[in-house]
Amino acid sequence: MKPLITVTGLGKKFDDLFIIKNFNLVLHENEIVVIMGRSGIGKSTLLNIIGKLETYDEGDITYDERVFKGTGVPLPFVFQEMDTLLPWKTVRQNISLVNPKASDVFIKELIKNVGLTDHQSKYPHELSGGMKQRVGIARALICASKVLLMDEPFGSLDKEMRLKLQDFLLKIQKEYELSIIFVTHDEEEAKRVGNRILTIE
Amino acid sequence: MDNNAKKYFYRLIFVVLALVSWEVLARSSIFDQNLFPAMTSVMKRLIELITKEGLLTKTAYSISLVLLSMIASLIFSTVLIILGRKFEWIGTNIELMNSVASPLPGIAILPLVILWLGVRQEAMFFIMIHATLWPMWRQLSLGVDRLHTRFNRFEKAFGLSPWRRFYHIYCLGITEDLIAAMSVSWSRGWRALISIEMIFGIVGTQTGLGWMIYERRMYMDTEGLYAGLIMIAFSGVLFESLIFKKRNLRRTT
Repeated sequence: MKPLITVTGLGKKFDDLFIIKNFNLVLHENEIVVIMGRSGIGKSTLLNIIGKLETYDEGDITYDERVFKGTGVPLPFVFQEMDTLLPWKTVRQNISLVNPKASDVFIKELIKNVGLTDHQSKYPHELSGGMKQRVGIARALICASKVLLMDEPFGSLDKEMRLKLQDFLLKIQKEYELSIIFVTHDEEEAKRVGNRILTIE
Repeated sequence: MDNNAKKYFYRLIFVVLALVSWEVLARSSIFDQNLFPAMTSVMKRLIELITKEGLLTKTAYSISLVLLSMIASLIFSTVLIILGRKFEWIGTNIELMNSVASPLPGIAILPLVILWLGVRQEAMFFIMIHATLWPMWRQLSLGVDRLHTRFNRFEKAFGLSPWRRFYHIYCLGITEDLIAAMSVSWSRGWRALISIEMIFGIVGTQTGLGWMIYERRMYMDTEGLYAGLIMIAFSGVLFESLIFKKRNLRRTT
């Protein structure tokens, strides 16, 4: 399998003190790598660095054979917080907003694949937590990127909904041949969705 | 009866009681009729002023001045917010200017403005902008901060273009804060305008409500003066509680 993202010797300083040091990761095509560790250890910071939401001080990140120094790669994110959907836009508008070039056919297909055809005209406050996360996933998928970053996307859902969405994610990953870096603190979830698990200590 | 209906019912009872007490007190002749006319004569005079002396035109003129200054303040606030976010030093200085200028009532800077600009419409407009700009900027600025905190990661992760960010997140997301900003700005502007009009008098070809009540006093037309005050209060309440009322915008929460 071809490596898509390679993180080598990554380090991040905070007030002259390294909070992340010598972190290495390889993400291959069509695989889900789970970054696991207890809350507050820096999993989300790592994902933010890889996704260019934060800078880093050491090492490099390679994406599709291009080297990125100091900043990561702009990649679509699925956040844990459900309030990142724009409340004044419908499901369909929230999805199409991030990629204005996406065709109507693609948007329609995507909405169908995440099972929201009957809800595409609804506003976020009219949706359940699980539906909102599916909109979040569709919003990331519409960017047509090979890689998705997911920061504890199902962390605020109940167990039953979490299991349903984990199955849904595995289905979508196969269908769209995605590579995913998935952050969680839940071991059960990590084992269920991940092809490989990296534990941070 | 639901809570809202109850509230309006209590208000109605209070207004009716106040009007009846006013009428009884005025007819008892405890006070001089020239100082405390009966409510029925005030109402008659109000109708006369509306039908024969163009009170509605004067009201519309005053309202249009406030609305114009609010539109100008909205444009200035937007520019200040954009500049303040783009350049940190500008943002810090706008904060400072707001803390210095905001507590200054428009009437306090009036002598200075007259010295600089003369008794002209431009001077009036300047004071009106001073009255409406700062509350507008403060409220919109808080709204932008709130939206930025909430959507900052989303904006960055999906690489939205500056225009898409500006329009789809900030312009559409700021509705609630805009209504609140308009409401505060309106009440500050309306009060400032009435005071300024009383001092400026006739500027150009039109006069507003402030000058009208001042004129009524000069002619000892007390009924007309009360009628003018009723119109000022009515217009203020109409805009503040009906037009700029903070609505429950479910889609924006």
